[in-house]
Amino acid sequence: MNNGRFEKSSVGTIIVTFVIALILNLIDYPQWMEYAKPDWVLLVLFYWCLALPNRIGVGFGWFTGLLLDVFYYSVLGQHAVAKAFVALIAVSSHRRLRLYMLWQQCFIVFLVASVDIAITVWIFSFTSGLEISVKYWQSAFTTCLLWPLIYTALRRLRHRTGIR
Amino acid sequence: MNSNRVTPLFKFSLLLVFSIGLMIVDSRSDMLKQVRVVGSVVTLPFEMLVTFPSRASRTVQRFYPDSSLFEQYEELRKKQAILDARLQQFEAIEMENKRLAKLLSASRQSTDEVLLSEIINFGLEPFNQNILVNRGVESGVYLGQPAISPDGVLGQVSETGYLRSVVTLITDTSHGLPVQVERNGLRTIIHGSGKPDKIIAPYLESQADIQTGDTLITSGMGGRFPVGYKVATITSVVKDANESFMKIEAQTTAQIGFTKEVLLLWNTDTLGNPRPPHSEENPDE
Repeated sequence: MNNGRFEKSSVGTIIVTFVIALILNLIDYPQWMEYAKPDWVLLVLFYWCLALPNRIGVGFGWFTGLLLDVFYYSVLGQHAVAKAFVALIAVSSHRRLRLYMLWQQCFIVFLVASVDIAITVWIFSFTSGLEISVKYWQSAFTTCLLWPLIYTALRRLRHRTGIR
Repeated sequence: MNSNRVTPLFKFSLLLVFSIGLMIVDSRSDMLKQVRVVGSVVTLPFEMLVTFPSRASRTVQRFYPDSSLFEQYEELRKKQAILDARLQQFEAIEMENKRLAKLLSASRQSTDEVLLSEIINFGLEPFNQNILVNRGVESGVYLGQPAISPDGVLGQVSETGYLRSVVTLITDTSHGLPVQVERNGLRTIIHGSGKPDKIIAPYLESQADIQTGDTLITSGMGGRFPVGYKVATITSVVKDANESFMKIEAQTTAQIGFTKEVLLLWNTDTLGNPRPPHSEENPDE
């Protein structure tokens, strides 16, 4: 492995994709999508973990989760743990996941998004003592449906900018 | 692969332990509140960017109004005339009320300081019923401050940033509010249902005098909300012979989907709450 290849510009590109994902997470969605907001940050994180498991991993995932906590005004660490777990799954099985067909990857993204929601909901109800509606699971569906889009877009971006 | 490389699992376990510590500190103490106030300054440009579409559309509407604007203006002018007339009467009543209160040597005053703020964002965390408003510590906003809309009570300030604060709505499941029935003064406590514009009143026994259509107003118990602001209208009362409490649902009079402005109150009734810093210089703000 040659660390010199990982230039500053590619770090910049990756951070820009995360910033865009963060903005898409934070914008207003129509009322009927209340429970089905897609998790763009999770998708982008999952992609970069599969593509560059030696660069983007658990630590990076944890940090993006912490940023989400700051923006959502939630308990610090709630989304951080969830996103670190997403990164852990992606990094530790990236070899197998890369071989899957796109629709199979969609299914994996659905499972991962479900676990992500489960962790945040679990921590939320633990720290606040409140029950949460099961409806929030809907966002796992919308998230996994967006995976092909994110996958092709980021792959094209990666090939064009030559990030390896 | 290098053998001395930290495995992802080990890294995750380490961060998990650290996060658990962080969560305990953040949820049990106010130590990290200052961090959040500083953090809110950093997140400000982001929020500006994220809320840009809605703000832009509002600006466009201001310059290119639709044809109904004139009608609206006429309607508002009529309303203003009626309200002005009523206000005269109200002022007379207020004076009388003050005189009588003085006679009774009651300490209650009902002059509330208000600050107008705008809603920036809804439902930050999908699990909570809360909104983000564009006033913060800088304007003298404090934790637990009542927030109302022209139609009724909205909620209270639950987080304060430097230029932003989070208002937890009365429809949040963690929010309780002491109220009374306007018709007969029956007091109870209501809770949020977690659904938009819906609240529940779980502590009324089956013989309590309450019916559909009753209006709930704040009772002033607990000292956080001032007396007499509208809260909700009862939509359903279900009596179950097996249960000692009734199932009562109500619709909040303030409808969050139609509200853009939020009034933050400084209630001069309550003790020890800071006054707004602008109250001396420009009282008409």
